[in-house]
Amino acid sequence: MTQLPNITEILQNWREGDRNSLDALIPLVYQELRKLAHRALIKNTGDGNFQTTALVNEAYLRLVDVKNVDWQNRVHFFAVSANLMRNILVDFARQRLSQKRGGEKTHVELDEALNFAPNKSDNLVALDDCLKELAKLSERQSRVVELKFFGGLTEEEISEVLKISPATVRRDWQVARAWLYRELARN
Amino acid sequence: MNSERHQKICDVFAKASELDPDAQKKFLAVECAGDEDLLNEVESLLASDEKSGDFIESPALKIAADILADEQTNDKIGRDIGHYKIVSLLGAGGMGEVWLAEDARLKRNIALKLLSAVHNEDFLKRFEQEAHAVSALNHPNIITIFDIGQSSGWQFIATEYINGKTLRRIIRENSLKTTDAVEIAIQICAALAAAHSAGIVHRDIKPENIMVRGDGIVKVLDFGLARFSVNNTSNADAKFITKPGMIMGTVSYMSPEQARALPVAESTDVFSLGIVLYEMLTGKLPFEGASDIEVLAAILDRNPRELGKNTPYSLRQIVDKALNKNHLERPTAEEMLRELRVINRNLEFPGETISHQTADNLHNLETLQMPATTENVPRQPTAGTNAATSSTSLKKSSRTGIASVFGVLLTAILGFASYQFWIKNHAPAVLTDADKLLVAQFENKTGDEEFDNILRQPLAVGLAQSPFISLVSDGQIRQTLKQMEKPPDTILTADIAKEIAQRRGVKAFLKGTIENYGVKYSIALEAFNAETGESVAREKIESANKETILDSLNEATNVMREKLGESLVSIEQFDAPLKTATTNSLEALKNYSLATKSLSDGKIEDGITFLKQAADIDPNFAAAYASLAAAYSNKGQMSYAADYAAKAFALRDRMTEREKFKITSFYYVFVTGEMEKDIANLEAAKQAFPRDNTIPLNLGADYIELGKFAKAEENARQSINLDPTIFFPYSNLARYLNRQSRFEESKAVYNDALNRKFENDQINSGLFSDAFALGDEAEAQRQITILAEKDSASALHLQGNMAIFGGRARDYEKLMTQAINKTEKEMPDVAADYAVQTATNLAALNKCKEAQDWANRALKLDRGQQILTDATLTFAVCGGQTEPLIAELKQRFPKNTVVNSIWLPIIRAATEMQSSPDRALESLEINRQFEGAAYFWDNYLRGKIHLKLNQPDLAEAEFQKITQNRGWAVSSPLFALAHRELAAVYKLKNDADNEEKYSAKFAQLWKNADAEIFSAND
Repeated sequence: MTQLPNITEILQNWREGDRNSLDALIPLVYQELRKLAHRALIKNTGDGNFQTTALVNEAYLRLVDVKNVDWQNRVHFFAVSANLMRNILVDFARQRLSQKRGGEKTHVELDEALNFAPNKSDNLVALDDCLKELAKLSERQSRVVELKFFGGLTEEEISEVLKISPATVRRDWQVARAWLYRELARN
Repeated sequence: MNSERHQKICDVFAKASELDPDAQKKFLAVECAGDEDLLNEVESLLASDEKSGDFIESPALKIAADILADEQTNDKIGRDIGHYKIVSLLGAGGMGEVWLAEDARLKRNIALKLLSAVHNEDFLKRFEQEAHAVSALNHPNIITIFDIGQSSGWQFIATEYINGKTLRRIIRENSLKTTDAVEIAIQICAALAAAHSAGIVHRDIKPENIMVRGDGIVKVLDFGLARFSVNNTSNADAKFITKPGMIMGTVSYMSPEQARALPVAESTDVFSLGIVLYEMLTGKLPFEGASDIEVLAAILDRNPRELGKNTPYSLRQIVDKALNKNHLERPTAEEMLRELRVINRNLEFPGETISHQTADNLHNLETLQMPATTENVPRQPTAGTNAATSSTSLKKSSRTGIASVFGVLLTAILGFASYQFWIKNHAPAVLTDADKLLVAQFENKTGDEEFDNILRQPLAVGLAQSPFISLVSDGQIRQTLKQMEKPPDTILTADIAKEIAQRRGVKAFLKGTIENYGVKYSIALEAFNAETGESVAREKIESANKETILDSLNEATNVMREKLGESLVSIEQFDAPLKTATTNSLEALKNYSLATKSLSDGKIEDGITFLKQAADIDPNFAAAYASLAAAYSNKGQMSYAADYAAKAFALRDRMTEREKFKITSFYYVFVTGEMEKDIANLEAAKQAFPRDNTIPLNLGADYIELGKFAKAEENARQSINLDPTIFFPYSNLARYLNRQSRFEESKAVYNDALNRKFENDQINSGLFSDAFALGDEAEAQRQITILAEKDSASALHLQGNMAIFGGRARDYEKLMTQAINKTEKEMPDVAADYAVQTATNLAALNKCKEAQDWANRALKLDRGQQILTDATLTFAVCGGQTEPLIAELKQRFPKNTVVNSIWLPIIRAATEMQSSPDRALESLEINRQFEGAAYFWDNYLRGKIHLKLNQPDLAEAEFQKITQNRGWAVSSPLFALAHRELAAVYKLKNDADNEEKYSAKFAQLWKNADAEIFSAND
């Protein structure tokens, strides 16, 4: 599919002490982003014939090749990859923010009916900030959000990584969402 | 807040969120008793939970991708790429995104396709070559490429902007009706046929590459560009397959040879079209699988899933043929197009079931057609003996119509739309498709009279070949000069041209000048704003000598077209060189100009002489032959007209696109009589030159010949809308309404024409017909009186029509004898027409001896198609000798639609109805497709046969058709006779009330009928 290294290899190298491999991951994520963006454009014009969710899952699967990770490392890989995705994606949003606004921080607007506004770069950045706050209150809840939202993991996978029941994952997710939504709205 | 507190809040929240509102309230009251802060915290989280919608439910990767997509869109909007300003995103595909953009020079919307990826030089070069090849395709169903280039680091293609939906979307949004699916397939097929004949294979036919405009016009996109797609198989709307970890391309529309990665030819497109058609018909794909590999395997090995019985048999067959695994056994696009058209026609006539038998008939029909005309020619009813309005006045005016129209075929400055100038800061004048341009004089400053009046016409030809330019016709110029009280040959100086332009609301005019310096010449063109008289564009080209003058004019014209705002790609597309589109010989051109002038002055003989001289000098002068054909047809000398039309048709590739359509039409109508081919030709012409009012005018005339009244009416109205200043579409529209028995509406259209100060005998004969049908005898008489002063033969003919309608055969014969005596010498074809009408009408009344005499008399005067068919019908009805005449018809009109599909079946039925009524009925089956076209004869004969076979119900239906559709033949005696037959039918059915009713009606209609006919027919 691509000449770029697989995230699994990168993560293996990374674990073995090659910090530079994080940089190698960024183009891989960006490539997926561009593909998805292209799809998003098609969808916006009403002619798309595909399911976005499925495509995003595909992209995650390409980034983290589950099958090629040995079982013992799975948990670790999931955790690390979600965290890396978070860093990369928030950085991506932050860059855009600084390009547009000269780095000046602005308030997030979240009105009553607002869903997460995907076209607002600052939301990803603000969300990241709130998530850090949440981590102070509940490390586990913030990890659930990181794994699901940034890492694209399923509830089962999260339950495997955090060693908690899927029901707990669901409960954590629900309250964390409500909490983050409230905090973003308050800012 | 600390972790424990947070955990407490979360626990309460988790439990509360599972409860319904009432229980929740009670639960919280208990849990948070005495801890108001806890209550507030939990309540605010519950509220947030409720409001949060799908907040962060989509993964961050998707959100980031959306940000990127949005950014890419916003970054490009408002940007300039070349002289295109990006407005909004239209779509995205394998090659990149497509944007709606504004062409800053032409002030029009275009679609701008930007190549997404960075490509190497070699790729770009190949891409440009392919795009250039495709841009040469000029077909209404193929998207027009305006421009190809690179700018601001982007490789782009600018194309026509299509306001419509992709076929993908249409299929997804509704289930298509069979007729719509076939209609769309026909247009795709037409595009493929055109591209294939130019050697271009599409390679990626699929619903995403097909647009359907709001008006139903289909446009095929991305011809030949598929292989430049980012990755060959993965296109825009990749069909997603569920196998994890994989996204593959659209393989569903691939041909077996594509699936095997073998070289592909035209037949690959036919296969893909077969799939698209299948999908339109069923909403499903013929080859499905859980993965792309399985789909490919199905394409290679499996038979398509069978189409249901809801799909007509012939349609199932054509889909099967297109989906043949062996590419050599598939039909060509051309063949498929033909078959689809046959199917479409069949679908259009409800009641026709498509079976093996009728499919055969349809194939025969395919070789048959009808007559068409040229510019302003209202066509006469061809084989209709009984048309009330078929009069000398109509015939004569149709002649002058042809003269004014086809006579000036070359000039082609016939009523079209026009151009608008943008005059901004001395910017070059830019035309829009909303305005007209007037061509003023071509001034000769050489002092050599050889150059008098010869360059204006080639200039007009060069300008008129563009679909974007609409010139004021010479006829309209003369009309305006008349209003200005100036002679028709007034020189169109700048002042005169300005006044004409202003009076007609034309925004600009163009003037030419030729000068000489020693052996050198210079050709100058200058465009002026008609309102201010200000010069807005100018071009001067030097010519080294006399021989290159036309080349210089050609060059100047093209530069002027560009300055007026036409795109280079369009100029390249419509670039028939003037010296082939007209002639390279100045002498031939001189003769041609003189001919055009003579013809427009009504001096047809002089015009013919000049045209023959022009053609002698340059035997490849296609336009001269076309004008000769028109001139002869105006004189009624159809065999000459046909010869010259055939010559012009053979040279049509030299002509401009616009004239090619016209000569093709002329050829089909006057030479072969292939009406359906002409309809296809003119429908295509209408799409290519949508503002040309003559195209729907002639289309209407084609449709009426085949009894397609609604289509005829629609086209006449379109023609009026395009140019309300032309008379003929009004009289055509009124006639088409009259044929539909909408006499009041017909009358209103004639009166509208009168209010517009049109004067034409057709108005009187038309108003007569309406009044007569409405039972307004006084008004009918009044119109006859008006007409009698101008054209006594026509007036006699109309009086005769009134007589025969009422069964007064003796009066009728007297009146027609007088009418024929008045016309025999000067206009033998008109006299022959009168004679043959008399013959068929008398045959209808069983006065067979007289009828056959009249038929023989007609044949001595003229043996035109209509005379021959009607005479043959007369003999057939009277049991006379028909074989030699039928043989002559078949030999002389082998492809003529009206002869072969309408009249020969009727003649056959009339011959066989006594000996073999079943075969007679079978013969008449084909006429059901052209109901109303045969002036009652088909219905009448069918009714008589059913009566003979003792089938009163079937007979009743046929005769009732006649009584309910008077407009099909206003003055035919068959109308009254159908009432009498109905009385007989009801007698057979023991329906005494109706028997009496129809007997009484018949008696009323024939109250003054000749006594002996009345009884002889009883």
